Amino acid sequence: MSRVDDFSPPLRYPFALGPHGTPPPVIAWARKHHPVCPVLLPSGQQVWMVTRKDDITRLLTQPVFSRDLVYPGAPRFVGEDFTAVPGGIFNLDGADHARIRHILAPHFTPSAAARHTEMIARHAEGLLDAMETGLNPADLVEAYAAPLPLRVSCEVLGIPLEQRAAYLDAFRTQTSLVVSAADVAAATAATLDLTEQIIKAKRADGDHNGPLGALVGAEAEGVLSDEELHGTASYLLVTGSEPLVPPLATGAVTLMRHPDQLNACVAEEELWPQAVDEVLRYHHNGVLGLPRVATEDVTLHGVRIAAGDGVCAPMLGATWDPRHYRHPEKFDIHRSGDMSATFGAGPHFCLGGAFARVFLTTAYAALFRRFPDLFLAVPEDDLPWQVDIQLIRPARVPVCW
Amino acid sequence: MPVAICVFMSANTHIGDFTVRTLSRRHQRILNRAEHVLIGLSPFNGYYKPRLVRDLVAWGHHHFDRTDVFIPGWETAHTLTGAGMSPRDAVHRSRRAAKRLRNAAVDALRSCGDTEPHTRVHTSTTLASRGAYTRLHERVRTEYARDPVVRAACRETAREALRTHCDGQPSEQQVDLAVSYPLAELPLILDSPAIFATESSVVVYHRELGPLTPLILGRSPTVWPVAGQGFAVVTPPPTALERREG
Ligand code: HEM
Repeated sequence: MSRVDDFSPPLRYPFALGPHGTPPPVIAWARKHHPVCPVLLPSGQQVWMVTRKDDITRLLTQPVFSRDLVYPGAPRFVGEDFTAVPGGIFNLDGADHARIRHILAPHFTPSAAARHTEMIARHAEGLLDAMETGLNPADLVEAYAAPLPLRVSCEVLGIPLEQRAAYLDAFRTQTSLVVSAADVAAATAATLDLTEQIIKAKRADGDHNGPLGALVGAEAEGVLSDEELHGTASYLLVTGSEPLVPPLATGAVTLMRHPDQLNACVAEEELWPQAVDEVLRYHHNGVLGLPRVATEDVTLHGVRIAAGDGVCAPMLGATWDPRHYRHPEKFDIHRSGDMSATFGAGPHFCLGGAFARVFLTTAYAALFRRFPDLFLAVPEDDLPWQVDIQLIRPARVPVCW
Repeated sequence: MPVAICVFMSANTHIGDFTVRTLSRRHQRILNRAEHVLIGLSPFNGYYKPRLVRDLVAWGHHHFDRTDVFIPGWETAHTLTGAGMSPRDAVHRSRRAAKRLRNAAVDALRSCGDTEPHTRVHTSTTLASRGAYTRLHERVRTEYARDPVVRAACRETAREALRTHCDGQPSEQQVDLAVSYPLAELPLILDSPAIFATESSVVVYHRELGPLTPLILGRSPTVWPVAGQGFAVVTPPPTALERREG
């Protein structure tokens, strides 16, 4: 593990992870010594990183920090990823953002999310059936954690699995930290092609169901521009499934590493929602959140953030801030406090938060009900953490039952 | 440190006290570059005692610019379940065997002055964090389903491994279970240079890889070793073997 004096600003992203998929130690170092810390992105651009929970809340809630990165030369991780797509919900501020959010919100409320429980359970059981009759030991990522989010998300969005699966590589390239800017731009274009195919099909069928259908319907009624329809739909394709793979895989590992707490959940399934919250506090699905840009000069902790500068936050900075969470390094499903900081704050607070919770609760419960004795088939130190992509996850989790 | 250039006459050359046998002139040339060696260890057969591992690692460290060690991963449990063992027992036995090899390799690297020995001992699991490995692994799994040369090589390797654990001819179903093990190792003899970020690399093992030889020699129409990929059989000096037996 890195020692404190190993670090010096500007930091270089991506950062080395802590043990077992825990946050990069450099985040705690920055929180303590450089609360506004310069970070060099793979693109070569430099941004500021804030790591204290209160500062992160400010960044995410104050209008002076804009989400609009749809201009040439905006801060980017690598190249023109989905932050460069005009009309995307993620990339809009103020009233335009609120208008789109209003169309989608009814599809992502806690009760709307709960209505998917049965469907999620059905897909989970199908995959577990196959896993049970297949090789033992098996790779949990390949058997369960990778395919389940994709299947479920295709149902939520009402699109064919094969069509979406064909574009998985494009999504991975878009979020990769080790490809060229041109590769990222090409992957973003490919995702927009897929979006166009899907919108065409929904328009032809007059399908106004689900979140994508609602966007198509709103565009037909003139509430939404064609650009906003495409930009926002493509973001939903990107965000609906892959971001769930890391917590599903990493969370299962962390639960197996804490057998007492896992056994408590198996014995008393009402504990799963708490366990899910703690997994989501303990592991975010990525490290550095995508940049915002300052629209005027701001001074924070004596550091001048100039208009036009990019500012990023790791949500792990908030969820491991010892001022808000006692002994943040302790995995404790009985913890209380703000258990939604992993999903951000302010107007862009994760739209899929309630859905992600329902998904993970159902998926963990099904997995450990089927295999209550599941254990790692390799030493935990061997697990291969992927750090060359924005989403942090073990590439494999060999398990036995 | 460069290896003395040896002329490829017979298959045997000597590097230090070790006898090194290559299968082709190309492999010999790659061996002579001595840029990178990947020492493959194998569990269960009792050959790789800590002493021998130490001698091998010291040999690699002395004669090559870089040395890495590969120990088989969780897939070896499939050989054991294929041979009839329960999954739980198979996993525990595989983990124990891998741990012994790993400890021996880490100690050996450390005594060569390596300050980060853990980072040079690999399994199919640890390598899965490297795109070069996972892409190749996916590729060989795909070709296994359609290229008869890859299929035959992997099935025969699995069959051989099974035979050391059970009596008689393994059934096709047993082979189905055990084939994940050769599939996990195949990337290393096709493109260890990409996996270890080097121009050339020699994989060394204590014996020829029998059924995988056609793939090592590039006889499959779908997957073949890259130009910088070498393979060699390395035999320690009799003194080291005596110590191993002693
Ligand atoms: C556990 C998994 C997830 C985590 C940890 C997560 C986290 C986040 C965070 C931190 C943000 C705010 C980003 C910012 O303000 O910079 C966000 C935004 C968003 N998330 Fe998630 N998310 C997850 C899963 C999902 C899922 C499954 C969906 C899909 C339906 C989703 C849809 C969205 C959308 C649409 C936004 C943008 C909202 C807006 O701009 O108004 N997320 N997410």
